[in-house]
Amino acid sequence: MQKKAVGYCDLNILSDSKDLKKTVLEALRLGFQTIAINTVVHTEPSYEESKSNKKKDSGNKGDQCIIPAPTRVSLSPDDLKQYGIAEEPVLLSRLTLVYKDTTRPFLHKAKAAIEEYDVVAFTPLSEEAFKQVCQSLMYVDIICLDPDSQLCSSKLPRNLCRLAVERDMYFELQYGPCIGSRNISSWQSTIRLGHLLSDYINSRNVIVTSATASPEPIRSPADVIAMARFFGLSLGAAHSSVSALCHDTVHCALQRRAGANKCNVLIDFGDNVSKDNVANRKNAPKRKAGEML
Amino acid sequence: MVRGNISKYPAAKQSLQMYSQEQSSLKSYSKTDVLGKCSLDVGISQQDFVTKLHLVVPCTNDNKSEDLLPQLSTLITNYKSFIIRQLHLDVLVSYEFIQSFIKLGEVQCISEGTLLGSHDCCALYPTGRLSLLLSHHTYHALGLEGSPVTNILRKPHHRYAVHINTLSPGFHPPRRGYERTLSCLRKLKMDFKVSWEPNSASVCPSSIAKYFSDLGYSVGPLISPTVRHTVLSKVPLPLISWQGKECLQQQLRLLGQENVTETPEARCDEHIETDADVLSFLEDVGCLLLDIKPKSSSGARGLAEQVLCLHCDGFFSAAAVRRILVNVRALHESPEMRCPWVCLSLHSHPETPFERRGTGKCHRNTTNSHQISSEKKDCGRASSGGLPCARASCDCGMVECDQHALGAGALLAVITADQDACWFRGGSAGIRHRYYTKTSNNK
Repeated sequence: MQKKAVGYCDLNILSDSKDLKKTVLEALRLGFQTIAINTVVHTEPSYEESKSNKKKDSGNKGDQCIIPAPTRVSLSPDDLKQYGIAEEPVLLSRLTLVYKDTTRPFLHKAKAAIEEYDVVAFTPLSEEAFKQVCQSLMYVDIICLDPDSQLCSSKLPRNLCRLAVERDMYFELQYGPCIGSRNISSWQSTIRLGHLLSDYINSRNVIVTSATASPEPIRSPADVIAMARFFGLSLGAAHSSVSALCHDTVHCALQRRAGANKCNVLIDFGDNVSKDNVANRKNAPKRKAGEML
Repeated sequence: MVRGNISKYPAAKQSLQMYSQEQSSLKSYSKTDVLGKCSLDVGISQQDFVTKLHLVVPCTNDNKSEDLLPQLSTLITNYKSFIIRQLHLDVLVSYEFIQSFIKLGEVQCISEGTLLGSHDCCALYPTGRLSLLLSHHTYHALGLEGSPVTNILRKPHHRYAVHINTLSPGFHPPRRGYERTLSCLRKLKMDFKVSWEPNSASVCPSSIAKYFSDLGYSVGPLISPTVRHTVLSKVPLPLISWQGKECLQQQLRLLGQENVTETPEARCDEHIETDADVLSFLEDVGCLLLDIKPKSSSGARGLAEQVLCLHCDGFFSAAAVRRILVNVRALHESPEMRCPWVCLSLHSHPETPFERRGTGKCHRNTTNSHQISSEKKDCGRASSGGLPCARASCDCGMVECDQHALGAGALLAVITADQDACWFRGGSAGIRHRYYTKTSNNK
């Protein structure tokens, strides 16, 4: 069943959490109604080793990239009542693919696995990967840039950012890694990225998410809106970054899953349809998908 | 900056600090000033979806709070509401509903559990107007004509407003507009809080609950307003000092005090009120509404033995508030009741999507006919003479409430023996650059 985003949204709660259910319930208690549980898949072994010592669940073996099944969380009415949550939550699944090398064909082999997720995000680490994401790839919903990566520290191509906006892709800013971090450079790099996006695309398609695995860094929607102001977003853009733009992201993701060539149009002419007209419609030549009149 | 904790935003505090923002609109009125011909009842009827109602009644030894409390509680707890789950919107504009309930009483419905900035909201006003505030996905899927609403972002348009006047002459079957509206609204369903005040006293207000129940909807139990009271004793009571020494003396006599408590700040000899007097009085009344004893440092004051403060949470229609006002006024004018004034304060639902007048101004009547002065369509003027509002005239008369700085519409009425004073404030906090185009559903 297609799920629509409702209310305030947090489209990035990491699935590799010690207590995912508690994290999700905390986010719901704070006022979010739509949560996306994010599974991060690293396709670059070198990136994985340089980032952390912990083995991530990338499953990268050779040219194959094993994408796990979406992580689901079931919430009972008692859980919701215990946390004082009155609204029915909307839980989505999200996949984030981190890659650098555009020559590896992992995307073609993992297409079936990718389609199981509601929202798909990409974290390109090189300019070629960023170009591929913005220009070629068909099923990109969110572009999640790593503020500390070499790509963001160098100059981002402005025309590619605008192209991504035209193709209804959304850029993501993450506040979770900044909270509680003693390393001030994470704040600085996120703010720098936010101001860069504000300069390039006027913060039009920018969403703000928590990107956290624990409940402590999660903040209420009002606080996230206030934090988004530090990232260079205007007041309206900050408010939209946790509500309207997230709804648009999920809506576009749903449309992408439906497919570009599939369009059902039902025209109801009422009861005054003559038999001749019905017969003519049945005998009309069938057009191929995408064929213009 | 957006106010914190939007998701569980409580109703606006019953303090009068919000009125002090309107200082520039408090002008000096003389007795001959009459700025309009609206009545207090009209002002109250424009306050839709009242969820909080407060009464401040000073008591003397003759009429103690223990005697007044049962009478006042009974006045208020009669007005009940209920919640309907997953109601299709076409039911609210169906011909049967219009003929049976909208035309024969005052129906008010507001969507329950929706936030203005992020959810689709809907409200049915007692005037028969159904207003929808929708996200652009819902709006484009709905198929009815509307207009983009004002927002901090001019583009892209995220929110759209759709207004449907159910009492317009052409809105009935088998008209195509009626059929189309019903077929479009059938796609939407929401939870609603509903109340109905029938015009006829012989009809039970819960008939509307039975109507929805017969249609197969899940109707919650009737909810009575909750009443909480506080009694403050030995209160330095603020008095209306700008109407002259005689008026002040009369108020003190009612309190059982003969000597005039005159302070340097009280201008008893002049008949022209000033901002300081009014603000001082309003601030003290506001303290009482918050169950705080005002200080006896400034302004003319008497000493009240007791002050009864009633705080009611419910869902009151304008007709209910008018009846409460009539009863309170009758109580105040009865010979047993000896108090200089009675204060009634109303707060609207904080998630009201639209309201029927502009931003609040301070108004006060100076005649005996219970009139207040109000400015019509004052929303185009900034009180500080700052940014002009680029506003296209829209005949629907609805003003969008600010979706980001939530502030419930509020009204404060002070009833005295020979006059009423009323201050009201609209639901939108602050002045924003607003624009919207005319819609074609408003006919």
